[in-house]
Amino acid sequence: MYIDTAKCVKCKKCVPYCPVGAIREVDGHMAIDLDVCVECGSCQRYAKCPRGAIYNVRLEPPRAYRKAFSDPFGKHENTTLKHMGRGTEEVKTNDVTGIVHDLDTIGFAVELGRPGVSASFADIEKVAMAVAPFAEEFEVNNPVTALMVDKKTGKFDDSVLGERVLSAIVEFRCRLDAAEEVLEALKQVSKEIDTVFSLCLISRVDEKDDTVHARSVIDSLNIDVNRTAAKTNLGLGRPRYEDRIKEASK
Amino acid sequence: MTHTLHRVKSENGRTNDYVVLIMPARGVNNQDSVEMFKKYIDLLAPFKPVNMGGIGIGNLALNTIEELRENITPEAPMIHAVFSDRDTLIEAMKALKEADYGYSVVVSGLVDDVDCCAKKAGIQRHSVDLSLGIWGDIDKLPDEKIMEITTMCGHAMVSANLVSKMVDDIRAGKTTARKAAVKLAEPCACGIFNIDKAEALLNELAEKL
Repeated sequence: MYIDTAKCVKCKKCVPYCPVGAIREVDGHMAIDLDVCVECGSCQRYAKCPRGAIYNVRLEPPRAYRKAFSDPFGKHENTTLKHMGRGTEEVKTNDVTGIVHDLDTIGFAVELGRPGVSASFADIEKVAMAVAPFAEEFEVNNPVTALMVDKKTGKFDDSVLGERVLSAIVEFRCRLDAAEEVLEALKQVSKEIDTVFSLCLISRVDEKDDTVHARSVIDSLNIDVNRTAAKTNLGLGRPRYEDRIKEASK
Repeated sequence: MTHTLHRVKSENGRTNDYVVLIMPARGVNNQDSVEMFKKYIDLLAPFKPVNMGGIGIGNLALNTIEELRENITPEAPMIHAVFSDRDTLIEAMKALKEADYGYSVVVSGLVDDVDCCAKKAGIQRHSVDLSLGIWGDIDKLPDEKIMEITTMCGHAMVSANLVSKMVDDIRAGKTTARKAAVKLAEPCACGIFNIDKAEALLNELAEKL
């Protein structure tokens, strides 16, 4: 994003709208720090600049990845995915897709940069490589996975490592019995990054006794799940994953 | 993404904020999604959600319910409705179960609380996505009360600086907490920002010395 200094009247209305504090006064002019800016478009879209001084140019990769991940209206035009959004359907449609369909499998989503801090792909790579030994598979429909040059090790193309995004999600599945090792790896790598991440764990509910088996792992870490939110899939989607599998096998 | 998850909740804010998300699975049951999403909006609107909308559809800070209906296109991936109390959530859950339109329904809130509401609505939950908190360099985070507001937009479009400015404006008598809450809801393109809760939190912040 840029500010046209010929139009700008330095009213500073746009300043608080930037989620990463990239708009500052430099040498008597308002300017957007392009290293810090994540191209989310919030300043242009919502600050209602009285002079229309905020503008952008067509972005090319690797800078275009900033917009694709950070702007809720951005599309992943430069990867094979093309869709909007930072993540995938994950638990949202799990009753229909069966992404996590058995009780021995769990899903992790590590959202680097959230809430509101932003993250570099260098840090995103550190986390991806830390969990890679335990991941059965990085989620193929996730735009972070699409930027990996080695989906076994979690290595990214070097050209993206200097880019920053408001947030991006390292998403993978593993066996339930690997959960503790994953959490230990995340604990270690969390000390090596210059940002934060919001972490979540996806699990099927055992419909026989209504238990969440992964809960014991969480309890052992003294994480109080009653201080933060959870997402609960109510199982109202149709056709259910199990019915689709039965139908396909006929 | 996990945009309705990871809402920071203080002790007072644990049972006054629920997001209902409705989504078809791409390539499986997302045919005729425009008409289906309209049916879902018609089903949920009578429960008077405090916010509603979806990416590319709009939100109740900037649109009416009728405008939300009109804005739906085949590209819309999902819709949301936000509720501020358990009783209304339970009634909305019952209506969704009864209607049985076939899209996946996800409710964000505390895991045991939402399970309790689901059971009262006669629903057996299928799977859960549990937030395990914020890790890493947490010194970079703003005050928790401000985060309770900013994290109500999962895309982080509501900045901590904008919340601070709104608090200053309320203290200076330039705006009201309600108007400030609606202003903060504007950048949340998905319509999941809880305007009622933000109003209460802004009042608390403005009164704090």
